[in-house]
Amino acid sequence: MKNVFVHITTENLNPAQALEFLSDPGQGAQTLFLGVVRNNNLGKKVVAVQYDAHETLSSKVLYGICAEAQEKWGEDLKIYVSHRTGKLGVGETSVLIGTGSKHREFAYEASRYVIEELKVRVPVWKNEHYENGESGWLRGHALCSHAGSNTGGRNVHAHGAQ
Amino acid sequence: MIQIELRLFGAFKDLGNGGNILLELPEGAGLSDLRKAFSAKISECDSGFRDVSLVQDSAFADEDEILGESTVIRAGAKLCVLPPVCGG
Repeated sequence: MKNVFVHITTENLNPAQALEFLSDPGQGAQTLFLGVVRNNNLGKKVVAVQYDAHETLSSKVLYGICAEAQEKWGEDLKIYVSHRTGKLGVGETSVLIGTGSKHREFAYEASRYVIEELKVRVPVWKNEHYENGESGWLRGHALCSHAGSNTGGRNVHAHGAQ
Repeated sequence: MIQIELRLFGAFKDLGNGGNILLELPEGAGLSDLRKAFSAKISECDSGFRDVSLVQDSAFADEDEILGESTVIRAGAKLCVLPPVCGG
């Protein structure tokens, strides 16, 4: 897919690689968004987050989201999306989204679109590990249309990339 | 009866050994049959996982796409259960 890079990885995310992908002498705006693991959620002290993903489906959904963004903001919009899996400590980057466009307005809007859609459509899950030794999977957004109202709407337990 | 393999993700990884589980379904089973069989399997497990309501809020998929509610499940199918997502 032209101008789009999507990656689900266990490796550290690399902003420099994203900037290299976005580099284009014809474009005057680049954004980088980094979602990082924070040390608290819903009043609990978080020490790490384990990310689980259905990798092939996650990549497919992300490509679809990027295609939608290019429909909205033009085929010359460049998008770099990389999501970590595995256990991440506080401060580590869990998701990296880069956008490049001729104008900053499109780059900002596309970046926001990709992260908001990612959080409710991409099959990724988080298991938080707390200071007291307990852990818990965060309840998020249901992918199935028949689901009950307790998971309806946007992810209310979002962690990190807010 | 047919047998299928179900790959576990997210909170369902706390079930059993965290890998895949085998389920038996009636011939011509759909997703409602799959949810019923999966819920029963959870109740049988001694893993301590008891959030059966999560099954109702979960989607099912193969390697390429999320299955529609009208899907008829084939014998030997390898499927995935996708609880509500929260990436980022």
